[in-house]
Amino acid sequence: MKAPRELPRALALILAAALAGCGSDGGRGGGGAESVRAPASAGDVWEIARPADRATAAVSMLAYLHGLHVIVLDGEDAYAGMTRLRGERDTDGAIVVPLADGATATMTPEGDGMQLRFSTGETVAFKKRGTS
Amino acid sequence: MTTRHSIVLAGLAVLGPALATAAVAQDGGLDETQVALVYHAITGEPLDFERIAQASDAVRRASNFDRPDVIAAEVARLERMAAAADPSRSFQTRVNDNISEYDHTREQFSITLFTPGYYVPVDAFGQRYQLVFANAESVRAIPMPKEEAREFDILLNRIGRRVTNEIRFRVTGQGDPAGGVTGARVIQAEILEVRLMDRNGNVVHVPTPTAAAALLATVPFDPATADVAGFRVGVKGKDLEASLTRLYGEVSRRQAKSDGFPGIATVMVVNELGCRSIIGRRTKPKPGDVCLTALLDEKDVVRSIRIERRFPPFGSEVFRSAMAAKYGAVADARSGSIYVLSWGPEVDARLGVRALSASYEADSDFMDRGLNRAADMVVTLHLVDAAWASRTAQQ
Repeated sequence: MKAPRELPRALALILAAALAGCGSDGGRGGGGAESVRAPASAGDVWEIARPADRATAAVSMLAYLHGLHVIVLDGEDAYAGMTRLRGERDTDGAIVVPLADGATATMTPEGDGMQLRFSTGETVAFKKRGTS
Repeated sequence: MTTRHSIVLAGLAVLGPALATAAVAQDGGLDETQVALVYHAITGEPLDFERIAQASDAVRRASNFDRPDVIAAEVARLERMAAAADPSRSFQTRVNDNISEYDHTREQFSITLFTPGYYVPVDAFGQRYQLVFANAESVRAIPMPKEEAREFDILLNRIGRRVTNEIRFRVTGQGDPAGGVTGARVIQAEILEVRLMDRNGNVVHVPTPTAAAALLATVPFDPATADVAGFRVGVKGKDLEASLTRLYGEVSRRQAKSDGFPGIATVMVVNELGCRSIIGRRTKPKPGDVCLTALLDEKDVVRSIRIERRFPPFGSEVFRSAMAAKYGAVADARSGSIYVLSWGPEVDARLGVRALSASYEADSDFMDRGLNRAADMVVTLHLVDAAWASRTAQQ
């Protein structure tokens, strides 16, 4: 009986395609740092409330460095640029997200806005986009 | 051999990236020529022996007839010295230094020389070198509980807070990993031993340095995982476009110029040139404005991403320390009208400087200058897929 040649060839093509997918350049950064698309409509966009305030210029720069100057907040997750920061809600209702350098940022609701506090102590006020 | 140097502050200005240096007084003693030769031996940075020989006393004293022979002999002598430079050699220097007032928040005093932005000047071969210590941060602070600090502070006041900082070090490379000292010929050294003394030679404090290699490896820069404001290279263009639209609004694409870096097919922009003051434009850029330019390859993968944001005035030390904390030891630091720090391998000039660069720059228009208003600052972060660029350039 003649062995079916088409099946192994098809399997090889599927395997090759899968391997090519694994080695593709798109989709992720290295080292497990996942880049994701920010949600198209879920959550809310938050931004620094008073970007011209000189008193918070330094902490605004720190927020920018981590992509936190404009974020999508969807549940406990914050999207900083294309980096998803998986947050946890603490007992006060604040959301704590880990940052790349080992620090954390805590987002605490404050009236219509929220306060972003770095673990180093600096704070800056945020507002929901579209609100004054 | 020992010498006594004054400290020079690179002094990053509050409102601009320009560096200011203070006067220097030296008593001589440190074999500065040997320090410089070891630096050149380690870094491979060439020395112009012909130029140095021509400026030497021996050549200046020689008659016109003898000058060519004297120059040749001087060049040969310098070459022998350079060949004999021992990279493993340690040096000792003494620097006039100060100890700060007590920081009640951090519960510590600090040693001025070991603060980012300070260096010890070294003069050799008719040029200035800047000596910085890669492990300075490990000895900068003198931590002390408040109760003990009061007594130490009385002692410091008695000696006018002035100390002699005696340092044994070895030269390890080039550049300031903290990014505070910029310019040519920045000698990177490792502190091996250090002690602070009063003018009578009584020991005031003996810090314990941590090995520079251990400190520099704390936050190693990895271009594959680095992000700029949360954005990375190697991601799909359509994902970047969707994210930018949600976060910043309108995104536009255009075809890349044919004379750009090969393999770049598309340019994606947000608020192009909107962060800079441009003469004749009606709208004035304001703090909080963000601009972004991404370069994509033929497969629509992001290979370079450059983001800038405008801020009200803030100090360059805030910029430097935040960047060093996130990205680790700085590979190169430059200042002039722009203060630029960079990390990772060098990349093709059409793409950037290195895999990652961060710049701090003042931007003002004629109205700001006319009203003597402090300039806004623009901070730019630029990430390039260096591995892809290297592969593409070789094809």
